Amino acid sequence: MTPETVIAIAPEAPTKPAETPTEAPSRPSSAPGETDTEKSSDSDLDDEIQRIIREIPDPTPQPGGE
Amino acid sequence: MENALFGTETEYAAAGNMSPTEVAYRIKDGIFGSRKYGLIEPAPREWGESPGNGGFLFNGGRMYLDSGHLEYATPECRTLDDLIAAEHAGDRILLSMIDELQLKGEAFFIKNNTDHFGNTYGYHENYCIRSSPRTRDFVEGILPFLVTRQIFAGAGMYKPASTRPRASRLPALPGTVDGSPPPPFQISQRAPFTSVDVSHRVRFGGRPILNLRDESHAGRRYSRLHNIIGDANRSEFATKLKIGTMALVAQLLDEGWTSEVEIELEDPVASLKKISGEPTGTWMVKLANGSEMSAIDIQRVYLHEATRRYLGRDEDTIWVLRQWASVLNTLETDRFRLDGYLDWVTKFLQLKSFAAKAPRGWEEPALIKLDLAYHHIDPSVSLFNLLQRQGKLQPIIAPERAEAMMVNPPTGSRANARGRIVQAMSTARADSDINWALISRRLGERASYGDERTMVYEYVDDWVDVQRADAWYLIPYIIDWGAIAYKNHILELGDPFSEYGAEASGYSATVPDWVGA
Repeated sequence: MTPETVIAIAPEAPTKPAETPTEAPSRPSSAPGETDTEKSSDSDLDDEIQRIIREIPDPTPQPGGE
Repeated sequence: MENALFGTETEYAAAGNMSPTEVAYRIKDGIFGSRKYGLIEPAPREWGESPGNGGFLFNGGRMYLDSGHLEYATPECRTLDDLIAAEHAGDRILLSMIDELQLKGEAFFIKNNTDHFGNTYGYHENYCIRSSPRTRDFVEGILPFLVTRQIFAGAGMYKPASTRPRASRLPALPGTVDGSPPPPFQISQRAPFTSVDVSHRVRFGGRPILNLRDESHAGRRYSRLHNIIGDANRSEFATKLKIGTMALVAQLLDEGWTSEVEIELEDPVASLKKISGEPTGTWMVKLANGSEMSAIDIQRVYLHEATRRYLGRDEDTIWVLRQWASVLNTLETDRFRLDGYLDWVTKFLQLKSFAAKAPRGWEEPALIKLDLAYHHIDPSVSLFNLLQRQGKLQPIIAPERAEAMMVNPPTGSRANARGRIVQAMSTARADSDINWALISRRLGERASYGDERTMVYEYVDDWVDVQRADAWYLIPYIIDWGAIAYKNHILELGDPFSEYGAEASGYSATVPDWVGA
C-alpha cells in the first residue's frame, strides 16, 4: 500500500459521502503457521451455539465498576 | 505509531460456582502466589488497594483488584499489534491460572462492560499526550469523535426491555433506515450508562463521555488522556481501529487542531445514546448550530485531517487511515458487510440468526446468554472464538505473539525496563522480604462500617513516602509506572518513551544483593 493509494481512497469532502468505490476492509493475511480451517455447516454452528449456551453460567450480577 | 504511546485497562466480569469477587480474589492470589507472571505489591496504595491487592507483571503491565473486579492494565505499547498482543496476554494469564487451580468449568471470565442486571464496568484507554486534555478546545474537539466512534468500535449489546439499566435515557423511537421497528440491540455497551458530557470522576455523580482525570505518571512533560467511554472489544480488527483512530485524533488535538467544519453537538449524551440505539438506523445527530450531520460524516472530518497530516508516516498510521476510510464507506453503503470485522455487527447478525429460529424471536431468554457468550474469554465456551474457528473472523496477530507477551514486555517504552526488573525481583524472591503481619500492625486499623468490620490502611503514595518515613523494613519495595524502588535503591523511569535499557540491566543484576539484606 503506497501513500498514493491511500490518498486515492481517502475522502475529499467531510460533509458529503465519499465517492470512492466501496470496498470491504482488506482481510489481514493469515498468521504465520496457520492452516486452513474447515468451515462447518450452519447446523454444526447451531449445535455448537446450543452447547455453549448450556455450558456457560447464567447471567450473574457483577459489582459495579469504573 | 509515531509519537504515540497507549495502553488499556480491562475490568473483567467473572462467574461460575463462586461469587464474581471470589473468582477474582482466587485468581489474583494464584497469579502472584505462583510467581509465574508477576510480583505482589506489599504497600497499601489507596482506598480499596490494601496490601497484596495486586502487583506488576513481567510484561510490564499490572493485575489488581478494583471494585470487586480483577483488572488488567496492559504495559504501555508503541505499536497497535503490541497492544492487541498485550490485551490477549491478560486473557491468557487468567485462563492459565484457571487451569492451574483446576477451576475449569467452575470459574469464568468475561470481557465486556455490562452484566445485563444494570451494572457496568470499564474498559479504559490511555494515551500519552503533551498538552492538557482538560482545555476547552481539547474537550470540544474530542467529544464529537468519542460520541461517534462507536459505529465501528461498539461491542454491541442485546437489550430487551426487561433489562434496561436503572439510569438509562434510551430514546423511545430510534430511527431506522426502512422504518421497521428497531431490534432490541444497542451498538455500544457503555452508551446506555452515560449521563454527563465530562467529569473528573469516572462514575459517582454521573458517568461521563470524557473523563478529565490526568494522572500522567510521567511528570509535567506529558499528560494522560484517559478515555472511559469505549467498549471492550473481542475483534482484533475493531480493537486496532478503535485505538488507532483515537491515537491519531489525540495527536491532532495535541497539535492544536480545531475543525473548520462545524461538528459541535447540541447534546453529546443524547447523540451518544441515539446512535447506540440505531443498529439499523441513520445515525443522524443534531449539531449545536441547529443542523444535522451523520456520525459517519463527523468521523470523516477527523479522518480527513489525519490523512492530510500523517499520511504515509509509519505502518500503523497507514493501516489505520486506510481501514478507517474503508470502514466508513462500507458502514454507509452496506454496514452488515462488516460481519467478521466489527464486534457489534458480528454479534448482531448472530443474535438475529438465533432469534429467527427461536420460538420467542427477539424476546428469547437465551439471547442474553448468547450475548455474554460472545465475550467469554475461554475459547471452549466463547461464541467469538467459535466464530473464529469457523473462519468467520480473521485474527490480526499470531497467537505466538500473545503467548510471548504473557511474560515478556513490549519494546519501545519504559514498560520494557519495568517488566525486566519485575522479573528479576521475582526471580530473586523479593517478596520474601515482606512481613505481611507487620504491615497490618503498623499501617492497618480495624474499623466498623455498619455491621461490617474491615481493615483500613494508611496509604503509601510512592517511594518518597517510604523513604521519608525510613520504612523500608516495612515496605521493602514499591513499584510504580514511573519508578521502581527497592530498599532505597531508586530507579526513576520518568520518560515513558525510553526503554532505559542499560539502567534496567544494571538494576536487575544488583537486585539479588538487596534481597534479605
